[in-house]
Amino acid sequence: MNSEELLEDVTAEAADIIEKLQQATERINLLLSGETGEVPVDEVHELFRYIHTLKGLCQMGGFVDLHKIIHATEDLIHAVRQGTRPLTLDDLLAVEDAVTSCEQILSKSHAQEPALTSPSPPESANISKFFERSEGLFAVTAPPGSYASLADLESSEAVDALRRSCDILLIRFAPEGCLIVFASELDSTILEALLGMEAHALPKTPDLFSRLPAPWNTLSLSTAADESAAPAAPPVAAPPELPKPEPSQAPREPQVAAEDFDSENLGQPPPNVGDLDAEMVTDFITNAGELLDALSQSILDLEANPDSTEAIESIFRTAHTIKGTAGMFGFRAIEKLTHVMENQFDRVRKGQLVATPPVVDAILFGFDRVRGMFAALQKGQSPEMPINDALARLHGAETGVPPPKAVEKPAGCPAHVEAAPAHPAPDAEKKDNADGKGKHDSSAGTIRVDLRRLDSLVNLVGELVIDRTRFLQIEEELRSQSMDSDLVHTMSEAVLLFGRHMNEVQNIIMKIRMVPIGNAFFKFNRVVRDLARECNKEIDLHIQGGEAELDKTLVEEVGDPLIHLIRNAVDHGIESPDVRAGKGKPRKGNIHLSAQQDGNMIVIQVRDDGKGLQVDRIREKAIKQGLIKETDPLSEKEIFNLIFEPGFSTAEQVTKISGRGVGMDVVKKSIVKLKGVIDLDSAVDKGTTITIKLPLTLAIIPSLMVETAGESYALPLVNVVESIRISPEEIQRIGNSDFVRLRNRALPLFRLTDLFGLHEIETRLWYRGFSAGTKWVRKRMTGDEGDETQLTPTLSSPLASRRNRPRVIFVVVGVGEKRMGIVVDQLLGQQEIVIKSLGPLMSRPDGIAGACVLGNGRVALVIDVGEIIEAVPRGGAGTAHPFIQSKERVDERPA
Amino acid sequence: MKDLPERPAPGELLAHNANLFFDPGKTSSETAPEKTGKQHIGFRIHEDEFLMPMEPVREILMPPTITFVPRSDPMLEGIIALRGEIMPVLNLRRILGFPRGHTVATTRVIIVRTEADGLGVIVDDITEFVWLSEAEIENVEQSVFGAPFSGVTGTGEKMRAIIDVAKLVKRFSATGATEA
Repeated sequence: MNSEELLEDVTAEAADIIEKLQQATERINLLLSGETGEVPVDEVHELFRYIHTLKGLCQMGGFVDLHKIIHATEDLIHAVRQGTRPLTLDDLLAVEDAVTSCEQILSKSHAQEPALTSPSPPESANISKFFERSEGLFAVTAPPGSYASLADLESSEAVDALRRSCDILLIRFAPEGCLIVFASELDSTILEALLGMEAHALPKTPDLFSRLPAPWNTLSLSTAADESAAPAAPPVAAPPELPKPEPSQAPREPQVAAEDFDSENLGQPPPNVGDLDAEMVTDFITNAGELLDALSQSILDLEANPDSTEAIESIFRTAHTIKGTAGMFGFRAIEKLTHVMENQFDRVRKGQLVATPPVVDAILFGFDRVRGMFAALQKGQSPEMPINDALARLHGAETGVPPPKAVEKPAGCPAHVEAAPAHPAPDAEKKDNADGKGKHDSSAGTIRVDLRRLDSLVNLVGELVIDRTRFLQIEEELRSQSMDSDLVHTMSEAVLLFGRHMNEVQNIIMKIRMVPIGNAFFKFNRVVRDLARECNKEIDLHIQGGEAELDKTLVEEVGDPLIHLIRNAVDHGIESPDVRAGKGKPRKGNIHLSAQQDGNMIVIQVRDDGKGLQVDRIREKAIKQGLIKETDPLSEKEIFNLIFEPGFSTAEQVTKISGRGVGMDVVKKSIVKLKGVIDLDSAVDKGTTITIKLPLTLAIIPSLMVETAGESYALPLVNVVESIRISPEEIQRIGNSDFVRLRNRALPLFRLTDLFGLHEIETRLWYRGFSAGTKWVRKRMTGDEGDETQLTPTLSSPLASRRNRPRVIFVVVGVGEKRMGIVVDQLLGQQEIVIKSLGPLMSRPDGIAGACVLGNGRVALVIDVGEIIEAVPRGGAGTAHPFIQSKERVDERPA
Repeated sequence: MKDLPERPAPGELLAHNANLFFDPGKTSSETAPEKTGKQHIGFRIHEDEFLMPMEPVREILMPPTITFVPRSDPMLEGIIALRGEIMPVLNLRRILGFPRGHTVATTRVIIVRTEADGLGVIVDDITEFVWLSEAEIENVEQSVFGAPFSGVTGTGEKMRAIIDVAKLVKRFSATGATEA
């Protein structure tokens, strides 16, 4: 709803701007075709301003393609404004066309255009231009209902991830589902891992949609675009990453960039190797070492057989991968050099360039430089080296012009060169091989293992853990039954040893899957640097505790939400330098990203010293949106946590003013999905701190076992705040709900029996098996406060047992700031459980995360605290939990 | 278990002993002299006898402790763990309209493997293993029963319905899905 509102605002505003733009272009048109043919600078400035504003609006409205077109147009006018090119009628025409297509698309979006429309001419042109390029074309589709709105799709993690690494060409959102077409240099398996959904590789032909699943296969590139492309083409063809349309500039352009590279980039602070996690760098080098070896082999193959397309393809791919990885680390020199090499091979591959000896020499030269940089990196030095000479050689080889004088000695800063073994190609081969061996030595201790094998091993260990628990129980029972026999002692000893070894095995096996969380952190340096520059802010990112380890899947999954948070911090949290100076803060903002292990959890914090959240504004907005009532007495923290509410996050107005909230519900959802919790604290002008707590692993979850109505349930410890016993008199009934006053706060109480309809058990479970014989043996508990509970064998009727008990036991569970008490019959202590799905045949009932197998072979359900708490009506007093159908009371006080 | 079978039936002893792992190939030679057609397992629910194709049957278990699943399909009795795997157990009495039953000495859970996953079916007794040729099975319109049967056979003293596992699974997963 809010996203629609936003869209409306954007389109309305854009319509204004478009009108002004049309007037401006008309004026300029008159001036151009007038007698002098000159256009005053002011007019150009005005034009530029309008285009710039329009661009911003397009971005806000999520019109990706439009944004690109306008961006290209803006670049064009920027050049005019800078005086680097004269304003011609053609330019003006391009602007007018861009404005026209903008108007069309916006008016369509306004009219809720059905999304199953084939790409518009500009979009088609945009897609078809990738037919010539090395990037592959891909499409991802999402089933209907995956996203609530276009804005929801736009702010989704998938789109976010795509935007960071690929060019998005087409986004379609419709009742029939969503479609994103994008160009990427990655291959589809990597993309799938990245996006977590299937990426369809598209053929680079006009019928590229034909292989997509229905209904998308009905789309087609508009071939009419070719004829009508004339108006649309200029703005589309002008994006900055493309060669300029003027043919005379095409060959010169890359060279200019090449000449500039060293002076432009070496001046900038290179990523400090010391800052990066050593293990990550080791990983990177191991990875790169393999790739470099492959590259070296392929180049040698090529030398022997210049026509080998296989070798060329292989070099191309390898160079490409190295480029990508280096880019992620922010090693610009490596990235640039491999990029140029890759381009060369792309041309060789396409037959536009012959792999003549000079070309191969140049490639080898560049390759040696890359090796040199890796060697430096391995020694802990900065991998950034001057590469102008290598670039020049590569370009020289390409054009047939001999490279400029300096061949042996790089022309850049000599200080760097000494650290780098920059050998000329032929005689360096041996030494480089030796270097390569050195790399292998450093990584000799690691092997790559198929993740599935590891997973099955983890599962098996999970089973063994259960077996151990079972042995423990048998042993205890044996001890309690047969007094003091030697056999029992031996058994006890064996069980003890078994348990000890099991623990070790479990630790090691868990360790295998563990990777430092720093693996997710390292890319943030780049994100912050780039974003800060974009927003004209000065920001330092401080990373702490990157060495804390957690499950690999978790590290992968937590990356996206963290990026969201960090972007928010940069974008909205930290003020611009002038504002900061005005507030008496240092001009440079700080973002602290820290991770720290806390028992079985990891605590990740994103802290900024920006302007903080404005409580009043959030409150106002939440009241307006009906999330809370005017009268609701909410603490500051509760108000902060409102920004995680779905619907709140897209409230753009608040975001613009108070600063935060883009996709915060998405962040929360992904954290909750990982069985984690997220919390937020903020102080105006002091900054905002977001704390994420995650279990170290998804496979084994520490849980509090409880029993109700003879059934055991597991409550993930991450959600458990405390467990308390009170007398029934302390429970107060307000309306339909029960409350207890706990540390001066009213805590809603719900009986597990009611939540899960456990009164039904008697009528639902006909074959209760031999549960009557089951006896709960008390487990050894670790630091459990439930010591006071009597763990007598109990399977008496739940109702009777509650009547006879003078005390009510409840577990306080919480997600974020929300708390509730769950009344149970008994606490059974802590246990590490292996959570399992209920299987494909069964749908997962609300409030149940899965099941686990207990030591006695029984199954216990794992409660999804998040779902239960989310379902608690915000209205508070007097409203029943939606899970509860009957209106029974928590306290059945003895009459 | 201290119990002796109250009513010895051909398959009883076998089912009792082979409660951990059941090998259809081995039993067939003992129980069925003629081996034409498909082997079927016979069981009793309430007072009626049914047959089920032996092919998807993997194991026959002594009734384990079944865990109640809140707000689940009425056909579902609960879930059990079979060597670490969570498996739904169905109570056919409910869809057949029989009165409530309870665990007795002869109660067994037949584990069947389907394409999707394994599941268990509670039966009150295993009665026999028979080979049925196609001629002996009569197809019956689904609408007649409103139950997941694939046919009826007249072999033996009385007519027995043959339970169609695929239909059973389909019906179960379908109702389960809509409920959530």
